[in-house]
Amino acid sequence: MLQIKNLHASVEGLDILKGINLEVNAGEIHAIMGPNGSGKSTLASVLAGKEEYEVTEGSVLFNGEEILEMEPEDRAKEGIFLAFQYPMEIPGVSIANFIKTAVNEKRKHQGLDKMPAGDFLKSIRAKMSMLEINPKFIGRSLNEGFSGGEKKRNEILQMAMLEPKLSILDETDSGLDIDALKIVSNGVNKLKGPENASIVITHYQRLLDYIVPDFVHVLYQGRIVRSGTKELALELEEKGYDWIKEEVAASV
Amino acid sequence: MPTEINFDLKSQLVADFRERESSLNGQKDGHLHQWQSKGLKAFEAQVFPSTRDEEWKYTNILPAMAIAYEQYGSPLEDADIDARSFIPKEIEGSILVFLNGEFRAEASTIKDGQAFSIENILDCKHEDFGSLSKIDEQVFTALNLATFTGGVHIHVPANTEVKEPIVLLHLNDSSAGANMISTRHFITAGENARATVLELAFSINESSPTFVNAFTEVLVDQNANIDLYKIQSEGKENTTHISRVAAKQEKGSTFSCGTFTFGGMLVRNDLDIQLAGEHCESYLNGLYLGSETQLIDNHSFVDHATPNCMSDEFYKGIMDDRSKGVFNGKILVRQAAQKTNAFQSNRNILASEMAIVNTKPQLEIFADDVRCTHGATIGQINEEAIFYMQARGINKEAAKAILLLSFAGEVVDRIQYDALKPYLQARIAEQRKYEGELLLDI
Repeated sequence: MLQIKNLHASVEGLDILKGINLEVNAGEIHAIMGPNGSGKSTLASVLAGKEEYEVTEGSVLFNGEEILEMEPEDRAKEGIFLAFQYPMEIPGVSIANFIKTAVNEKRKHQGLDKMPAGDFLKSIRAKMSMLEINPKFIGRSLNEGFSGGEKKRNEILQMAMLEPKLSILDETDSGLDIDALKIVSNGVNKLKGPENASIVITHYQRLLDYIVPDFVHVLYQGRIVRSGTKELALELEEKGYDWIKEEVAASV
Repeated sequence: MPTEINFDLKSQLVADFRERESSLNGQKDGHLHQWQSKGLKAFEAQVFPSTRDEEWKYTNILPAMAIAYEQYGSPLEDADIDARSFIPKEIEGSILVFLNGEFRAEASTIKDGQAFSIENILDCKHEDFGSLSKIDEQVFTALNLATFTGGVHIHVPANTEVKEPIVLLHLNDSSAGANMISTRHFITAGENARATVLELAFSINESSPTFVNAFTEVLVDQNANIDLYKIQSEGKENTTHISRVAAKQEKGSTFSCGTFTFGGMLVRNDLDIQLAGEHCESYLNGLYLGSETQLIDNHSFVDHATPNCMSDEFYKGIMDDRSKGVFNGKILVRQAAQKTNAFQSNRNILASEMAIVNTKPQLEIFADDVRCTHGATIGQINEEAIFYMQARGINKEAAKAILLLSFAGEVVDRIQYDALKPYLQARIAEQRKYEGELLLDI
């Protein structure tokens, strides 16, 4: 589904990603871990198409198609979803209206008519119930005055409504208490299917107790320096990142 | 007629007045002429302000005051005016049409059985007419008094509620030449009276320079509630619009004023609110959307003269292209005005690299037991928020428009008169060239 080859990216002249290679297939969950500043969030932003990041080398194929020249909105409509670490507040725009617009933009792209209002409401109510979100929530202004947990649940609600092929969860666990973490993880697990895939970016192993990855990659200094299965995450939890840093230093 | 540069407008206006006066015979003693002479005298004693005048520091009005304006009528017949086409479709009510300041009865619709009374301002002999005009310090109000050619006195009797809004539709037609339009309205609300007044201004022809000099005087008696809106949609090529609203509030009254500026080449709005009785409330909302080379200047003065009053001023601006915005909000809390609550907020977005905003809160507080807050911000479009929306499949231009609509929508949300909200939203969307569905829930 996703093939990242030798991806280099910089922001304001500073090289952040220095040759990422990663292949994600349908049905898989990949965790990307790494110490702060290793380039995890940059990778997420580059995949979603954030303008500030300049791709200097490499390619990213999504379902066989090069996406690096595509606008962020087109990538979204093709089925890439980024759950933001810090979702933005947009006063005056309700969650319901925002999600409805996003859903209909995608349907338009797929050559479908707008979703009838009744169907939309039924669908969003079902998904809110799955995420244990109060039905009154969707009338509120997007993220305005939301707690950290509410913002993240709102991200997962959007993900559930947009049914992306590839979800990228950028530090979705940050700012969540254990209950919210369980609810969010539960939502992500329920959305998992043989046709879609997820990249879960996290600093801590904690989230991976609930979202069990098929593969774990360690990102350090802009490269994937180690890949393994979920046991790698447990090893990192136990030993921290220093041994990885030492290994990298020794190999240079 | 070619427009002269560096023309001495003041001398011409005075000469024109004298000439008109000499053609009057028996009318010289009439009340109208008395008023006009008083206006002229005050006007003659003053000069048009330059940017050295603190009140006009960022708005250079002098180039617009160096044009040989005449007071032209419009050749349009009443039957040619489709007033309804200018009015928001959601709005029912009486519509009074002023074409180049002149009342056009046949084009107007005055519904039967209304709770208010109206008279032509030229016939108004009300004892308080002009009581808020401050003509010795307000040069444009003095000029207005000397030259007004139309307007209405609306009286809402005590204990009556006017359910439908009273619409004052101003149309400018400058096909005949450089045109000065002086209109003047007078609203008197008796005790416990309640009414909504909507002033709309459009250009139907601005092929020549147009100078609108409007004054609205509002007396709000005890416990009355007047809700006034000014929606300015004139042309951006040639129209200088100077507007002043002066209101005096008696005990327990509420006055709301919503000023929405979409058009005009140079627009200067002055609000002058006097809280003369206790327990008054004033709500001053404003939204200005500048584009091209527009200059939009909002000045306000809230005079807390008595205790226990509340004023809440909330202005927002979005300035694009090379437009320039000015906000100056003065709040005076006199020594007697204890327990005053005065709030003021002015927030701006610069939507282009070349746009400018000058904003200045100005609080003068002489009482010690008051609560006053003010805040002014100038920011830019939040690129992170744009990316957030793009990442949900909304294209960049639409995302930008949604963000600006949401910013502007906060002002719309605050107004009392719900039927006006969809119209204002649509106008904002139109201004921002947003063609998608309106997302705002207000």
